[in-house]
Amino acid sequence: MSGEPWKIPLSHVLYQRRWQACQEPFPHMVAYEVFTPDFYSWLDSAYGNLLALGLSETPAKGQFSRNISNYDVYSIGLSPDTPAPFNVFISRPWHDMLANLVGIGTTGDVNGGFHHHSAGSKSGQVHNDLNPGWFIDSSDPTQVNVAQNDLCVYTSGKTGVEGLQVHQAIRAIAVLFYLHNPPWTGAEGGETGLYSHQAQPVLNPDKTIPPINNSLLLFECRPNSYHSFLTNRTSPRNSIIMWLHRPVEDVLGRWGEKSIKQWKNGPKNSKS
Amino acid sequence: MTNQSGKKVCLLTGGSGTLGITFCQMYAAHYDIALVYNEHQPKVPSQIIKLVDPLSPAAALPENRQAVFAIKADLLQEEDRQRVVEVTLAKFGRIDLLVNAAGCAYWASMFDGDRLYESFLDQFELNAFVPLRLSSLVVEKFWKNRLDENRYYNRSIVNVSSTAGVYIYRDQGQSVYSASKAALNYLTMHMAEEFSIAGIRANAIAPTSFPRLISTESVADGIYRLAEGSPNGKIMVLDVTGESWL
Repeated sequence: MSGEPWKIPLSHVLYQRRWQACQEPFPHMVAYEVFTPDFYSWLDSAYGNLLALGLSETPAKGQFSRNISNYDVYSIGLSPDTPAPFNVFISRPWHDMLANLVGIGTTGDVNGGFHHHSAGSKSGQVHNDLNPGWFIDSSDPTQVNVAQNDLCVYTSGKTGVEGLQVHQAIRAIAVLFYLHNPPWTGAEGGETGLYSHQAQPVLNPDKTIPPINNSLLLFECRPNSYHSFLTNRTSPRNSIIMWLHRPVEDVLGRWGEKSIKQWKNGPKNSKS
Repeated sequence: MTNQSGKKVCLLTGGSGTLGITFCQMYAAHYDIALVYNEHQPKVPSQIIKLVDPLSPAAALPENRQAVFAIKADLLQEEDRQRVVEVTLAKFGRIDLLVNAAGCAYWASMFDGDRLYESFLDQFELNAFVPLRLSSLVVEKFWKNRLDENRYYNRSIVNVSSTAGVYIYRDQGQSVYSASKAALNYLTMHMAEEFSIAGIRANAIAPTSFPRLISTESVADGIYRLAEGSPNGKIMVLDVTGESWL
C-alpha cells in the first residue's frame, strides 16, 4: 500500500455528528453513522479489497496475518503509507479532533491496524490498553507520526538503524471503528465488552458495544478502561483500531509508574 | 406540587427498547422522564449519556437540554421495583404518568419442546405481573390520598400490550405471549376501575409489530394521547388497518 496525505475536510465526510459520551463503566464514547454513506461505502469496499488478498497464518506485510501473539485475530498495521480512504485515520485533523474531544494533550504519535476476526474467534482478555509504544522522532508537526514497526519496534523501541532517534509515549485514546461486517442482529457476538474490574469474567461485561457498521467506540486509556473482544459466534468481525499517545510524564504524574502496563514477552505487536 | 422544570413526570419502563427511546425523543420536552432500563443503556441523553458534536465538543446541543433520568433496574426483583419508584420520587418529587413498556416475548409451538413452557412464568411475570405491581407501588407510595391532585394533573397509567393480546394469530407460536398480553389487557380494565377511586386512569395500547408493520412513532403518539386525553379502561388497538378502540 502507498498513499498521500488526507486532504478532504472532516466536515465533508463526517455524517451523524451526535456522538454519545457515556460514563459507565468508565468514560467512553459511542458513535453511529460516523461517516457519510458515500464515504463509508468507499471504506467498506477498500476493506473488502484488503480481505480479498487472503489470510496468512504467518506474518505477511500488506496482508491480514497472524502477527499478534496470544490474540485470535488477523491484522495489518497502519503505516505512514496507508492509502485513501484509510488515510483519514492517520490524518492530523482526525487525530486532533479525537484529542480535542477527549480533552487530552497528545504527542501526535499513532499506532493501529486493520483487524479481522474469523467466525468463532476466541474472546480476548480483559485489559486496559494503558501500554507504552515506541516511535521514530518526527520532524513534521503538521502530520501525525505513525508507528513504523519495521524500523522501530513499537513494543520495545529496538531499532536496527544506527543513529535513529526514537522516543517512548503512552497510549492515550483507543478507537475502534467497525466496518465491513454482516448486518447486526444481536446473535452474532463479536462485541467489545466493557468492564468495571479486570477480574470480571470476559463473558460477563457491564456493557457491550456491538460491531455495527460505520460505528465507533473510543475511550481514554486509563487504569480502569477495562475492555475485551468477545467471541464472534457466527460471523466474522472487522474493524480498524488505533491509538493516540500522550507523553510518559503525563501518565506518571496522573497515575504513577505502576499504572503503565509494560509489554511482557519482548517485541511483539499490541492487542485490543 | 411541581418539580423544578414544571413539566409533568413520566416513569417509563423498557427504556432501552425502540419504543422507549422513540418516546423519549418525541416527548422529553413535554415530560421529565425517569427511564428504567436493565441490560442496555438507553441511547438517549441522560445523566449517564451526553451527546457531543465531535467537531465542536464544547457546543451546547439542544438534545442535551431534554436529558432523561436513567435508572438501571431488574424489574423482576421486588427491591428494584420499590427502588425505581422511590428514586423517581426522590429525583422529581412526583409521578404523573406511568408507562409500563417493559416486556418479553418468546414464540414457539406447543410441540417445540420445553422452552415454551419454561418461558411461561417469565413472560407472565414481566408482561402482566410487573405492570400491575409497579402501578400498585406508585399508588401506594404517591398517588394514594391525592384524589384532587391526581385529577388536576390528569394522572394515569398506560400499559403497552399487543394486538396478540386481542387477536389470535395462527401458526405464530404466540400462545403464551398472547395470553400474557390478554392478561395485561384485563388487568388494565381492573386497574381502571379500582384506581379510579384515587383519580387515576388506566389504559392500554395494543400495537401490532413495530417498526416492521407500523411506525414506532405512531405507538409513542398513541401513548401520549392516552396519557393526555381522558379515556379510562380502554384499549387502543393500532393495526395495519388503522386505529380502533376496545
